[in-house]
Amino acid sequence: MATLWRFTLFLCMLLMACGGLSLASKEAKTRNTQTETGTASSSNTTGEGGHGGAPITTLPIVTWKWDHISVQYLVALWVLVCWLCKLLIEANHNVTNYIPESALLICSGFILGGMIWGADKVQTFSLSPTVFFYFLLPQIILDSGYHMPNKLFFTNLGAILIHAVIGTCWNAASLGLSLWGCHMGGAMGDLDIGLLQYLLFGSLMAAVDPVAVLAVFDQVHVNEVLFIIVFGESLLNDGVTVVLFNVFDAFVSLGGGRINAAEIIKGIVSFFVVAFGGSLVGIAFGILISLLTRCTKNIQIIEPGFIFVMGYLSYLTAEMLSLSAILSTTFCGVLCQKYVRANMDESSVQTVKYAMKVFANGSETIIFVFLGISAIDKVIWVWNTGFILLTVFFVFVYRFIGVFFLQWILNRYRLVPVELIDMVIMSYGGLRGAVAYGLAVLLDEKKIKEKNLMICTTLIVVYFTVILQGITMKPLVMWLKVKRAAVTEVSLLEKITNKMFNHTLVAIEDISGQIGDNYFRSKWRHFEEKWMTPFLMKPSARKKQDEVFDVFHQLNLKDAMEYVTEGERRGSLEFVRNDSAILDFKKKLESEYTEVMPDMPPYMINDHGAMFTMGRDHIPSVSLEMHEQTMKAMRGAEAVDVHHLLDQHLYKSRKQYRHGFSRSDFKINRDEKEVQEIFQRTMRNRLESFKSAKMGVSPPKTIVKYSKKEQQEKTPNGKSVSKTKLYHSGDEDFEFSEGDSASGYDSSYPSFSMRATYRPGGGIENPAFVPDLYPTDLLQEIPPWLAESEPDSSMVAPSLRAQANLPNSPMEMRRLGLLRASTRSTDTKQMNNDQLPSPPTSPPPPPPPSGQM
Amino acid sequence: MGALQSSPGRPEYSDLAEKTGFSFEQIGVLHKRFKQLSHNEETLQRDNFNEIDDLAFNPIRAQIIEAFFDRRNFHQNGAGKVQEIGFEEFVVVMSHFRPPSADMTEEQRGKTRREKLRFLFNMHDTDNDGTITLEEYRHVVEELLSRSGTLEKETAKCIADAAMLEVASISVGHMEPDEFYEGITFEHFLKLLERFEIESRMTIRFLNMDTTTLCK
Repeated sequence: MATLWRFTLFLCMLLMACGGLSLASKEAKTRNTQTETGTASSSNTTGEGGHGGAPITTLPIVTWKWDHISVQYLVALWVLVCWLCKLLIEANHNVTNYIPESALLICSGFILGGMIWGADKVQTFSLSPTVFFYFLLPQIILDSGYHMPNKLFFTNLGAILIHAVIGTCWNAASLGLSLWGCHMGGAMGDLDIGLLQYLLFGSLMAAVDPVAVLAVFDQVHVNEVLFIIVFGESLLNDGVTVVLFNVFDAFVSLGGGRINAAEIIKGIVSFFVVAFGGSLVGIAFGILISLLTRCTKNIQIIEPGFIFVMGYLSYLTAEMLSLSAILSTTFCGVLCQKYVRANMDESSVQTVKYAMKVFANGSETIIFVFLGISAIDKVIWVWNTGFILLTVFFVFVYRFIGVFFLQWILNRYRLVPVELIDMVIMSYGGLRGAVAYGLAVLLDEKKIKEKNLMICTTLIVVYFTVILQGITMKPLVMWLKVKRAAVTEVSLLEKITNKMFNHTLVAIEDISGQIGDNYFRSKWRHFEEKWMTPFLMKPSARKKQDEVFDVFHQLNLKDAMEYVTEGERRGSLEFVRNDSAILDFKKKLESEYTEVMPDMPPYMINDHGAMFTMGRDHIPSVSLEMHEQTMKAMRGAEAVDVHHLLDQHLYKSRKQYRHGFSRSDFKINRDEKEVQEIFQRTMRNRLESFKSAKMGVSPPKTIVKYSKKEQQEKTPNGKSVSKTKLYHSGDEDFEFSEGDSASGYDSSYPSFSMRATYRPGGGIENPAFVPDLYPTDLLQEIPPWLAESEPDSSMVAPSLRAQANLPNSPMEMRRLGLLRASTRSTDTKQMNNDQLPSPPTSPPPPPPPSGQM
Repeated sequence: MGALQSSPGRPEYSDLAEKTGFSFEQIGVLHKRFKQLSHNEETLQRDNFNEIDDLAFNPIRAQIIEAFFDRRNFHQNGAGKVQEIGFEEFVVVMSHFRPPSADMTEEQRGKTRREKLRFLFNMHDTDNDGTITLEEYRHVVEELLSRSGTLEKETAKCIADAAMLEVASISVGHMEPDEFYEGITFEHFLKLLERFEIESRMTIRFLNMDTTTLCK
């Protein structure tokens, strides 16, 4: 479904792009000589093809109507070509490992541009500012806003703002002034550029480009603080760039003489208006989106579309008010992400996520390819060695100086200072990109005589930063040993600890009377919970808002899915149903036999207990409470019903096609309750089975250990400590159990080793991956035992006791913590006196189902 | 240094500064806060902490307040609880949250890390038996989620259980299984939170300025 959606949405985008192109073509004539994507060629074709106007003498069966669709066709074709470039590039992994994709895309743009040049002798296609700013950029910005790691972003907001505002101003001013100085010094020969024009040029070169930064940093996984500072800066400095550009553009038009203090103050005021106004527009739209998604339940199909339309509108609105469009869209995404995710249906959320990525990645590809194509144009190549080389040099050097100086100041106030190496990467990551190029193309040739030189220089700076710095970025990161990003994996424990941690920090700040970051964060949280959430979030969604619950939910979801997969793989639902049946049975027995437990022969524990642990360690050992709920639910439901429901659930993918034609309905299980029930059931079952699988991972060892300890404590009973220590030769019971459990375990060893292979290093892993093996195991082992035990419970009794006595049963859990030693030792003592002869109760486990694994 | 005028003499401070690593100014600020909390008494009781308004929203305030009265957090081998704490204890507990200095050796870093984690561990391990049992963990998680209002106790329990299972899944293969059944040991706790950059994250900014007037 998602693919269908993406496709439709993409079509919309194309349509918009086409509309824009025709618009742009009108502008192109008045504005500049740059020809438009597709428009020039359409004018070419109108020249040669006169069939449209010819009077018809007879009914044409087919006609050649290139004119009608030429623009749309070319746009679609270009998109296709760009994406095919990406496809080809990505196919060569050994190349992309060394050279970033963005650089390769630019290079393929060179080739394509060369082909066009060879054919047309003129560059018919190049990136126009209109297309770039209105059709390619918005989705990238929306995507980065929507997927912004909010917490990280706001924690570092101070540093980001300083870099974005002061850093960008510094870049612009220093570059403009230095170039002017060099010009005065005579380094560039005869150029018709004044100081203001240099400053204008400096301001368009100043901004670090979000597209380029994202493309390069995406492939080099640097640590998150470093990333967010560079990336956040690249997003937020747009406000500054737009203002600087507009101000200097106006100054150039006004001419040097008419600039006075009032104009300069106006410029400064306009900065605040543009930046904050843009952000406010974005926030307003973010709130609107959140409110909208509160009530789109009945039009779920087009629900994801709202995000895009509103995001785009936020961009256009800001643009219309001549505010910073990038800031607007960024904040719109940042604000709405949380509420959108909570309010919308799960599938819509997924659709938004993927569609966003398709758009952003797609247009990023197009941007880079066209950056390459635009270069192959004789018109813009005006070479001035001094100007170009000095620009590249100054851009590079002033970036370093600016970052180091600002970060040095910031470090004095940072709790955890940014290291020197990170500062190098921050400076080195100051990539310029398509934004600078777009602005350069926007320059007015009437006012700036050397416009083509500026475009040419901008392109060279872009290539220098994206290609050269991009390629060297990775080796540099490796060489400097920059701290890389940690592999992020959802782990419940970490989430909980993290949350606890945050509360602790807030509390300590409160107690110590300090006002710090945590203070504001907690106040904001409080405010948000009290005022914003009730307003913007669906009441039903508020529950799931807790992030710990969220991770829990995610893990369960994953589990449930794996469980179903497992069932499918086994080709039957027998698996699913059997498991719950056993659970019921066990539950009952467990409660019945807990009291009888103490009189157990010791080797029973070791022998069968161990085996049982293997065979049935899916006893809901930890969450009895939860299990009881399941029980209640289960009792009401008929087994057939369950089968039916699960069947539907499992084979959904096949049935889906039947409904594929419907435009408004793509659900199989329309009854929400049904779906929920299935989910809950599978989830619970699964959770329990894997939980217990985990608890009993290596029970034989446990038991051995315990008996050892117990026997040590038990010395008055006749066993000496020394004997127990040398248990290989000494203790009878022990040796027996060891040997026996070992032999009894032969079958299950494979699964152990497998388990081990599943667990790499010390990393926290998702439990969902592991336990798959167990249910398989137990199923093979349990049913015979089950069959035997049910008709004759007296026969089974000892083994059941053994089962109840498992170290992983819930009673044991508690006991092990508190009075492990005492309970256990009495057990064993009494067990010694008990009769031994009931081992046959449990049949040896069948050969391991290793073939299936 | 103006803040120090009403505070006790320097020698006491220099001892404290040496012990905790705080600067004189920071100790001065903390002392002021201490006086404010204790209403100019020499010691702080639990009630004094309960009076802090900002703390009222904190779901785990009970644990945190207990941490201030826990001997284990005062020095290495302490055990048990106290009823009231003096200024020295107050500062010592606070010092667990001092940011690491930039020029620390790897060894010192590891030590700080251990100390900080020990503090966190002690917050979980209420009975001081060296392990966090399931019961203890459940309790903490329940408290932690108690303020979210919508989550039931049952859910909190499930979450605690699931987290404990996660611990189990990591523990097996690394350690003897029986240790897991008892609960999370400190060594294990260290290992679990390996990726957690605690030495830099478990820090708050201790200002040299006096901001106490802004807090209730």
